[in-house]
Amino acid sequence: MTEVGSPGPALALYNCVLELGEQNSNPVLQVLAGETPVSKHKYPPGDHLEFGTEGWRAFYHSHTSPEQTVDEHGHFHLFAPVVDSVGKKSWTHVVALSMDGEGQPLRWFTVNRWVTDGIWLGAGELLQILRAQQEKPSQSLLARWLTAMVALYKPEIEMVLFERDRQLTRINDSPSGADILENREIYLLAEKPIDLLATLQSKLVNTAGSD
Amino acid sequence: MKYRSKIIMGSAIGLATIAVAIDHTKHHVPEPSRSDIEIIGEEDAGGSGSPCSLDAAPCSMESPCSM
Repeated sequence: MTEVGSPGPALALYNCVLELGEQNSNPVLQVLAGETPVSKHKYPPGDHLEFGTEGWRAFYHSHTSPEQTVDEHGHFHLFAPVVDSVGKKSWTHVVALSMDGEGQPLRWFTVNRWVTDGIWLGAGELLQILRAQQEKPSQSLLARWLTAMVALYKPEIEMVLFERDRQLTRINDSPSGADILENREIYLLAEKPIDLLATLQSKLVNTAGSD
Repeated sequence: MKYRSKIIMGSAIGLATIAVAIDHTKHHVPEPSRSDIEIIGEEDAGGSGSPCSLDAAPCSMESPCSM
């Protein structure tokens, strides 16, 4: 018996993939909207992408970084709304999603606080926010694709966030004593590769043969 | 209910179908312009943040031109 999860998020993502295919498009082409990307510029051009639960935002950009994989074209940064200690609306970075040169998802990853700025939350708090994320059918194809990716890969994102915190604890045990969240020599904290075909297969195809 | 769901899923989607659907979304995306490329972690290591802003972090939600 193959244990599989609910096909809901997988089916939602699969439908987005079908729709993208019908348009001869992919998530990166969608977010660039016909523009040639410029390194470090944020896309959608002049704006951000709202997706899923109200207040969640993302943008896409490309830049080189010390840990960038050779096949990465750029990445989405995903942010959730939070309120800071004085009641002011702010953001927290949840996770980033690396994309390749053919517009396919490569890996989930997390970075140090100085990279994304905003309110820093521990993995436990981020998981509560993550679990509240919901699909909104009325949103754009790209927004629905991103929401479905988050829903489908929630367990993997959780693992990345906990690994991020473990990594920080390990670094903190070193004798430097400096604020590691602002240490600009530390960029990448945790990552997990994505195999979209294998994931969809495990959630959709295997369902027919389980039990 | 579970059984019904399985039949729908099993009959509608196969591995090859998923692979073809994904393949249809594989399109070359334009390479980023290298005109103003900077390496995060090297040029930003001096504490100046994004080159387009005063203090914004290179991957923050803040607009690079809003400050």
